[in-house]
Amino acid sequence: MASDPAVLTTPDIVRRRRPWWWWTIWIVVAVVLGVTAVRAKFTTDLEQMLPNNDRDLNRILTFLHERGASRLLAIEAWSDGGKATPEQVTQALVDLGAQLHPLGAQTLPQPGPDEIAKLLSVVEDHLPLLVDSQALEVIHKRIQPTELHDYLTAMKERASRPDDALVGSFVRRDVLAIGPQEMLALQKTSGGASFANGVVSHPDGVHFMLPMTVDFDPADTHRTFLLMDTVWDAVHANAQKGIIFEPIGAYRHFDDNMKSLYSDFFKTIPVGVALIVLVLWSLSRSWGSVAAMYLPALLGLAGAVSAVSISQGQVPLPLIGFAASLMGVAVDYGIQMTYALRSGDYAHVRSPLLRSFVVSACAFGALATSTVPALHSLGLMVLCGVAVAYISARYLLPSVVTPAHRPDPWIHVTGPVLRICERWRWQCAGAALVITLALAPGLWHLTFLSDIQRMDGSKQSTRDALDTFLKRWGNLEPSNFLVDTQPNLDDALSGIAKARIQLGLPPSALERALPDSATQDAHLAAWNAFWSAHRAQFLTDFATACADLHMRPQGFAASLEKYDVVPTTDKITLEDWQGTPLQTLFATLVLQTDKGWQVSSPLDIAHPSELVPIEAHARELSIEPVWIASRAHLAKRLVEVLRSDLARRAVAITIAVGIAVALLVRSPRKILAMLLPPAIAMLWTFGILGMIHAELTPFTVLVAAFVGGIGIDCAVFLAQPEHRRSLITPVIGCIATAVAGTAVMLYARHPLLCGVGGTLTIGMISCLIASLLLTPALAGRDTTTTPAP
Amino acid sequence: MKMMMMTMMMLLAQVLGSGPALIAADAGSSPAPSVDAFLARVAAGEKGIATVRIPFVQEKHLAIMDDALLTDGVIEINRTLGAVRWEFTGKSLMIFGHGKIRRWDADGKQESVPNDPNLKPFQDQMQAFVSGDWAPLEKAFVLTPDPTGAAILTLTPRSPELTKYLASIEMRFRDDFTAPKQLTMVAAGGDETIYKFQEPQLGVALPAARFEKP
Repeated sequence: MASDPAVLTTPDIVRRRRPWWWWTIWIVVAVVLGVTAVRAKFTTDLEQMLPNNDRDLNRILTFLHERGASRLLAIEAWSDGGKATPEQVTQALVDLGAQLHPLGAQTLPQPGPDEIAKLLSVVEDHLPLLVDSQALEVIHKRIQPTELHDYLTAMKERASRPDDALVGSFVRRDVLAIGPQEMLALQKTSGGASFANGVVSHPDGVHFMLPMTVDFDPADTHRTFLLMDTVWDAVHANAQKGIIFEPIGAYRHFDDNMKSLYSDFFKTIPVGVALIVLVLWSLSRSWGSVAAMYLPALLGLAGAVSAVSISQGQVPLPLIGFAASLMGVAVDYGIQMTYALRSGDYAHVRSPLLRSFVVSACAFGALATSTVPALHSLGLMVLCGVAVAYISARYLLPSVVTPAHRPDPWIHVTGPVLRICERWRWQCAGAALVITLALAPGLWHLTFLSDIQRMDGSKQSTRDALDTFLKRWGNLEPSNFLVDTQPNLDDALSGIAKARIQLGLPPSALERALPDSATQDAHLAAWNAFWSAHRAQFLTDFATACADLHMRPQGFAASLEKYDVVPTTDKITLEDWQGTPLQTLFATLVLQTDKGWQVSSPLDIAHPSELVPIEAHARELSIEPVWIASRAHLAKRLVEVLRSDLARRAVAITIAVGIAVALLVRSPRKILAMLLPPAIAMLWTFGILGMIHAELTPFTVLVAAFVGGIGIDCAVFLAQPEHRRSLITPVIGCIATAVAGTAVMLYARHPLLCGVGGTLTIGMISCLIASLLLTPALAGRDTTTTPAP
Repeated sequence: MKMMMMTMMMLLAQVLGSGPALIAADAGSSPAPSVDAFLARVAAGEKGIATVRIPFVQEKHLAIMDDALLTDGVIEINRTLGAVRWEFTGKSLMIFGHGKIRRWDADGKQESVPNDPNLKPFQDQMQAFVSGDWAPLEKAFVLTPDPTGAAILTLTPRSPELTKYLASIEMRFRDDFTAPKQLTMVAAGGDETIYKFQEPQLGVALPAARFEKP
């Protein structure tokens, strides 16, 4: 190197005294970036990161957002082997409800006597409009002479009980109990159950549930932790009393996921950092140099966070999960530069360092053009991060790293490796070809994970508890709806009702209580036809049964007057249900939006798999403008949109990187030497993932971009035959530190973290091997030195 | 329906619990006393009365029945235990004690009340009753003393919805205010349920076992 006049030696640079303003600028920049990063507003609001240009996805997101869904927490409780009475179980739930109230959880409003009385009154006043053909069939059976006699006998017995204060009077108005029957149907379809003091009792008499609404989002981790910690304390305390509590809902899943992530971070990060520090110390044998190697990465990280914070106002917290990958790219600059400076010669790294930066900048710049906010932010974050890292490695490190002029501590390992790769470069290329052929079939086994629940890091016990709960109680809250939006409420109701009939689905509480105008007309016509046909015979049979049972038919005058043909009557409207328990239900199902009346009718589905045939049927029948809003569909669509955008970005990144490399190198052989190894490494990575049947998530695909970035860095440095001997050690050092940082993630319990760690580890190792095997053959070997024997 | 039953039982329990208090109160009342004055007498007299037993006859006059339905019964209250025993002779029995309600049918078979949290509000009200608190009744009803000063208190539901099922409840006391005499519940449409009370027995022995089972 000393013979090359263009090369500046490190001592020449370091000895040059930097003026005070030079240091001042760096200090100011570092302080500004650090303070901006620390003061950045981090957000866990996932909605801000989701794409907003996909009609399908957008309307589901808007729909769910308008309903403020996922803010329910239920505590299910039962006695452990009969050790506690049902009263003790319910009291324990009531006590827990009071305990959780200050933390933001409220028990559901319980219908009061007035609301129930109003409900019955509305039903009774609108019987001809509400009763459908099925209910008329039930009435028809009940008015047959024998059945009518039996029914009245039972009714008389009930009314005669001294402790019954209502039946005797109530039946005067509706002796056939058509109204209560309709109420029962409404109760069944609106999820009604025995309800007292906020506690719902299951018909089995054993299980109880305390449903609560929570006034903050589950993603508010601090409050969710406080809430769930209190719940878990109650779970343990009540277990001592023989009462089992089982929390159900999004808050438990968030609690599980976040605690799992924190636990994984605390478990893996210290080990990863220790391994990385060990590798770097082994490389430099100086703690000062280890610190210097990380200086560009730390500044780069601060720059990355600051860039997102300044451009978007807040930083999506999940992006920080990619900080390790960013650090992996950025630290490479520090390692290469520090190693070169320590060895007393850094001129030869300036060019590959610049190429590496330009390639990374092009790749992540292309990612920043994504229309998906999450990908755009990630691209922007990494682009700015690597820019700051490059500038600080290139211009700051030469002023802070002291040359040591020590021999390469890894040369006994890296030297022979390089000699083998250079001497038998065509055999190595052949080996790369063999590996490629062996792993390529794995690509055909690759599958994309579309079930977002499988990316969930909830504990198995949490999932089991949810499954058991769903089987016992049905859905905690409806997650699937038929939705229609029309300028006119009646048109929207009509659309929903028709879609239900087309799909062969039973009516929900909405269609039962609020039929569209045409359905009300049909009900009225059926009612009139029924009583026209059966009234005369019914009156005769009724009088006979009353005489036999010593009852007075005239006492039932109000009922008998009601069971008659009704020529006209006012239609039932949304306003009629004001002041009843259904008002709350309808407030979420019938909304007046800026696009008109939006009606959403809950689909009674216990398991997401039941939705699949309904969706297929809906597509087949083309029920538009009615559509199905479902959380499962949201997740599926989200994965589809991300996958599609990532595929487009991958093409853009490839083109951008290809052009950048071509412009920087202008030698077809070197271009190939820089691009082929990372491409082959990617093929190996996904081939291996396919062979081990690892399902791809958007996250694993995204980290592949980092693998490609580091792979190109690797190839860029090794594609210089004349400097390869002095670059091989830091290149291997870079990959070793990256692998040390990512391999520990394999021990993470959270499936996403584990998957990302696995992909990165396989990818990094593949990059190194592919670069070692291919670059000597493609870029040529160092002809300035004698090959090793 | 349970709501109606709860209201009635709470009312009856309140009235019967007030009996001893009324006995202790000053009988020389002025005409048309205010509700507060009326209830103040009740509150003042509750002290020192530990047990009471009051037999009654229930008459149900239902428009749908040819005949009135008559049922004998007895109510026993032990304030020390915080317990009430309410029996319709030969028909059914309800016991409130240890903060919960249990019910037995005519055959002495216990019914599934303990598993029914619907009765929790009633339990709370019974609990309030044995502690002598009229507040729940005042919340649900407008209390109107007889304008002529007669020993009659009329309750009408505050809620218009409840009015569709219950027209009024009339509580009639003995002329000397020593005990409740009659309670009449009038349903919308004119059906009546009347409780005719006999002489209350104060300080009778009502051991804990009376409030355990039939």
